[in-house]
Amino acid sequence: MSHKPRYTSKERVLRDCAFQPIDRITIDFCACKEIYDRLKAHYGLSDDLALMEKLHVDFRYPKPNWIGPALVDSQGRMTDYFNIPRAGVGDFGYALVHPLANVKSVAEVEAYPWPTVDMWDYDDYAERCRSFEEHAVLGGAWGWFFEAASELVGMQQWFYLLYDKPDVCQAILGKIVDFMEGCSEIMFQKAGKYIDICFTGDDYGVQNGPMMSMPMFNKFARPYLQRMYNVGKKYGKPVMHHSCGSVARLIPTFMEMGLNILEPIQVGAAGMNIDELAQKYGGKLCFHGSIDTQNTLPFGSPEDVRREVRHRIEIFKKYGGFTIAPSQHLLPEIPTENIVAMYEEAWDSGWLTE
Amino acid sequence: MEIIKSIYQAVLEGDMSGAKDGVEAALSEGLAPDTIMQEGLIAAMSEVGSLFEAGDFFVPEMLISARAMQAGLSVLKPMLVASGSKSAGKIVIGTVKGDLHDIGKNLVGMMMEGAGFEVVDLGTDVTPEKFVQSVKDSQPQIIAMSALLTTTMSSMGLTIKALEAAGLRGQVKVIIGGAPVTNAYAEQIGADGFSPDASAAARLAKSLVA
Repeated sequence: MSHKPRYTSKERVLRDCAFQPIDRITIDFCACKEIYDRLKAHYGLSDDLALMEKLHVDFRYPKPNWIGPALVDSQGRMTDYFNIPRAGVGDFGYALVHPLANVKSVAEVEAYPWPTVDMWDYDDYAERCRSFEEHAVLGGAWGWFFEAASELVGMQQWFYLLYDKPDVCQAILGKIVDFMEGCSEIMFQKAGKYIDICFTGDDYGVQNGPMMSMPMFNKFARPYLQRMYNVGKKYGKPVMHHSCGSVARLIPTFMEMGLNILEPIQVGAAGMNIDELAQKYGGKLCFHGSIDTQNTLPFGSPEDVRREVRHRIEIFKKYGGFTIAPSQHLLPEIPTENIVAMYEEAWDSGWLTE
Repeated sequence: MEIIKSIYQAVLEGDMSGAKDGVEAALSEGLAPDTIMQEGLIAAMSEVGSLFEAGDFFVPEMLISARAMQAGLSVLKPMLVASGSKSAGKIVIGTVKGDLHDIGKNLVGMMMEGAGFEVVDLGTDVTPEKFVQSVKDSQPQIIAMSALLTTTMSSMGLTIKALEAAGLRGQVKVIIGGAPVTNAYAEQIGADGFSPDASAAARLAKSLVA
């Protein structure tokens, strides 16, 4: 049976976020460069946007261009905008050096060369957001403040510092969020009318549970995360938050803070079983992701992947508010045929009767 | 035994100087180093592990407790050696080749120490050859391997193969863990055990040397 879409991607996603009936399940894609290149070669395509069309991806996520200092350190290593040299798997890798490993005082935090909001080109960003007239545009600055702090200090040292010098930790978090919130605010000022969803991300889960206790979350994450959510809220946009790991215990707090969409749903982590989450929060919170990059996608067969996709569609038929996407960036070890199977199945089985 | 209680409490609360002072005071009161170790430090870390498994303690709490335990242990260690007290066994630990993640591995190492094991930490990005060499050099009862990434897990199987090729597999138990690692994977590659977290890893190690 051949189907015809009734909505544009933008309409479909916005209706789905509001739990209104839609014509078909929404689809998103996120992957490292190697996967992009492999899939483009597989389909004989030359650019990323053509690949997005081929996979029927409803979302677009334009990023602003960096016009700040060169992102290279004195030894020629690639750095991020916090001056942390990085390397490793995927595009993001991990920190090679922790520049604030020995930080002892707020004065040292003040003296650190923090990035400033004028290091992005916002005019170009607005133009690119505008160009995606028919797609759902994810926008705003990525709010990975707790993660950035733990990379600046080194994760183990950072956890010690939370006990030993909470004032220094709060100074670091404040500096990071001043930058991220400031960038996000300008992005929405310039491009808000073209952005559909405010997308932020910061990881609070590990495999077995939340990374920290609730009192610790309330002290060192919540106030800063709220600032990132509030930029989206101020411009009337749904807020989507990326957190890896087991965050089931944090979901009620996220919702209280104004969360609309949780991404990427690491289904193998404790309490992140998608059936249980749907039963508990279906129709109240949207879920984005869940196709298992820890197990099914790297180690399963194409048929295992197809079954998982059909399972998700089956569950969320009755609730709405769901996007088929991987449970983390697709990394190089995932076989091409499993990714192809995922997107084919999402398209073929994704038609819903309104 | 008030002083033992204070050591136990200091470790539980992550109070480094409390643990260190407590051990010093207990030694000057003439308590046996082994008693301080078993009833103070090991008992406290076992409770920390239980609290973690129950979801009441998280990684940060576990880390500061382990740090307090280590502060106490640094004072106690020379006395334990001098008194001829035996460790629970020796463990070589490392994050496998290609993987630089170390916090999970460090936590397992600390819980092992907190369970009375002697721990040889090879660090991160450890090749199969390096694990093999460490078995020759350190003669451990157990090798514990960690991987955070689905892309690096396969190095665990390669290490077991390398141990077999070197004829050392029979003299050492191999246990594995890390976010993507499962019991099924442990069975598939022929490991002797899998643990989902640092606390259970210490229990597993104890059962393997029992």
